[in-house]
Amino acid sequence: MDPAVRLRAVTKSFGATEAVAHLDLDVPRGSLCGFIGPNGAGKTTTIRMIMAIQFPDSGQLEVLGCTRALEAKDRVGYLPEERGLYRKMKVGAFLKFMGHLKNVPSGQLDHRITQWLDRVELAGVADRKCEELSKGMQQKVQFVAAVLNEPELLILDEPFSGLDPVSTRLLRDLFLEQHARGTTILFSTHAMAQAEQLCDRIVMIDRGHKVLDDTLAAIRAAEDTRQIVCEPLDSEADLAPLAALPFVARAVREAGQVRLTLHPEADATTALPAVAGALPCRRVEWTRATLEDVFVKLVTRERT
Amino acid sequence: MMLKKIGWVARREFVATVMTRSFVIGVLVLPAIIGLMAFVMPRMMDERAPRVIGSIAIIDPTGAVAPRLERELSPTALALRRLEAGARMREEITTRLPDGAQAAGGAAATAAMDQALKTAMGETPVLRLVTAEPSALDTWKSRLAARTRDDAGDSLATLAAIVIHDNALVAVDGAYGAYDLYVPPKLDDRLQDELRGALARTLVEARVEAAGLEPQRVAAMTAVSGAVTRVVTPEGDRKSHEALNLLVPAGFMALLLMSVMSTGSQLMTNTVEDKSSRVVEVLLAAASPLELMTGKILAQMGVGLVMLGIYAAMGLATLASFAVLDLVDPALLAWLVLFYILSYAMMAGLMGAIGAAVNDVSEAGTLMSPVMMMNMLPWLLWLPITRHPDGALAVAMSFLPPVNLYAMLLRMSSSSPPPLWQVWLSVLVAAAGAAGALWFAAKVFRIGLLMTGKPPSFRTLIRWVRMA
Repeated sequence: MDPAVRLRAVTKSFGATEAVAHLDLDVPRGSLCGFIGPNGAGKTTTIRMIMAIQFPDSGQLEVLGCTRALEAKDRVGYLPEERGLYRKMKVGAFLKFMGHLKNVPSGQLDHRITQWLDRVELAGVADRKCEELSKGMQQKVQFVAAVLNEPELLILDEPFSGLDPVSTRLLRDLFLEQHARGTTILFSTHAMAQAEQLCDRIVMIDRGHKVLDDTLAAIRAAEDTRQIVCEPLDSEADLAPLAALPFVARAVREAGQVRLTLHPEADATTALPAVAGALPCRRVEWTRATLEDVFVKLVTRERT
Repeated sequence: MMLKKIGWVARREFVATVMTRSFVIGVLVLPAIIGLMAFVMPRMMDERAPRVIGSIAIIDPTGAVAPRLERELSPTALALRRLEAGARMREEITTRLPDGAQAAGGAAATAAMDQALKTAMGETPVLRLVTAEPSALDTWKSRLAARTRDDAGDSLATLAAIVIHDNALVAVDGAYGAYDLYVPPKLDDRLQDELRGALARTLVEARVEAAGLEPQRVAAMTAVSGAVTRVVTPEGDRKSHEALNLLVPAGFMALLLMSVMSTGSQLMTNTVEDKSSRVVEVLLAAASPLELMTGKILAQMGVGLVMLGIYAAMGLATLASFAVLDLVDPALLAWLVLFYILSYAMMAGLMGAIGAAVNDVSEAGTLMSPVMMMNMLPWLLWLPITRHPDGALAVAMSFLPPVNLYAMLLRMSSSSPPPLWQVWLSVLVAAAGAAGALWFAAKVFRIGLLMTGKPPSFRTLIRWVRMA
């Protein structure tokens, strides 16, 4: 099956700055793909090119099988990072306008608006002006505008920024629900922990270059840290018994816990009980490389 | 490009502009200003000359001018002449305005007349004529030179010195002499006018008498009054209204300029607002930059046509009530709509591009200045073109966008309309100008809508156009 988004050697520059450089990207249909990278990495520019809001200087771009991204606009939902509404417009009228622009059948529009406002806990605000809503409520209205057309591809650029934890959870559940019904989701964020929590596929980008593109499981498997973290009952305890274990290469105390780096041949099944036996601990666990660790490692390698 | 999306964008923009209090107020502001100027301003203006008291020296070798001038400058004679001036003003207004307009314009005419009466009955100058010897001229001139503003109202102030020429009354070698008038710096111009008028009348009267004729009889023979020009139309003849002949072209041009400017500015403001409120990216996710721009431009064009319709209807209703609807050629109204669409498209291209390029309205100033200056041009061209509709300036301006359609409209509504081929050529030039402006705007829209930061210069805009 064709991927929902396919980019080949896409390049975009602003003056002398190369925002995106020869980017190849496939977002498989039905996936929940995290598009991560630090601020200024080129995420928003890439997304804008996918949305045909900006146009690449070179390279090929395909969205939902359309070689012209403009043609796919009505099948895509987009929540941009810089959110805006017509302040003086009523919520219902704004959503209706957006529905019309997205070619939602007129007969279904009112029903969909009512249903969605209800689902984002904004029932009864249709007749209120957008400027009368709180920032969080406005963000929910924008989410509704993005999903009104029941998109095949949903692109969310930093969707949780500025939201309180309750709204964050609501929005997260809603877009996971979209994913469950088969919508491909491209979720851009610089908060890598969020991506790690939600996505099944990760694309990392730095200074316009792709540095990683794989499933989360594969990334984790490849980035086995061979590290154990334990929390001694006595935080001041001598670390000598741990350092003396044959599979331990290094023992470092950090913020109330001890990080043990193991020799490559160490066996996980024997290492954990051995650590617990060497020093009384509250907690002993194998660590997993976080996306942030992976990113830092990749970027450091790339830049050097 | 999807027409449906353009339609939705246009519809939203149109409703958002027209269904606002500011639009309704804006539409009513112009008639309110005209009303204010017609009825309130004449009442507020005080044309009365400042109180003048002082002496005027006269050196009169003929001996016949000074006594007559003394009579002419007496307070009674001065007051009478001011009354006559008021009456002439009233006659002028009633002659130049159509019969029907006198009802509406009557208030203005009455106000002007009241003003004339006030002037006459108010502070009439008190002038003392002093006969002097030729040898005293230098002394009088020194006094005039030394006179300051503080001397105003001083009964001893020296206001002027008059030297009558020897041959002022009797021609020598077939030529009459006149007089020399010496005045201090900054003497009120209305007093100078009165002095010159009185001297002219006095000299003519004295010359007539010196020639052995009766001054009253000559005055009656040389005065022509009660002449009336009547315009012959298929419906019959009516009074000629020179003032309206001048005002109708200006009215048409003002209508066009006002609609174009206000909708062009609105387009720019709306675009900037979309950009600053960040809604533009949401819109661009659903429509292409070209669809968005086209929708916005069409919406404001609709707004302009509504304004044009309202004002044109008000203007025509006014002319109809004055029974001078024949001053307006119906075809001109059709041309007006076409000219509006083309002029607006040119302006919309520029204003839309500016709106897309800047981050807020305050930043638009630098880019707006040349556009605003271009829009001042039609006002500067109004009189020269109306007076000489076939002149070189008028013809040249008829083919120079973006002012060509304003110039053409002035010529078409003037007393000497241009040939039809020139009108169509001007339309073609305007269409090409509009296409160019819209092409430019489309390029800037594509790049500028999502640009933030330092507002671009014209050079940057050109670079964007090349990039897009």
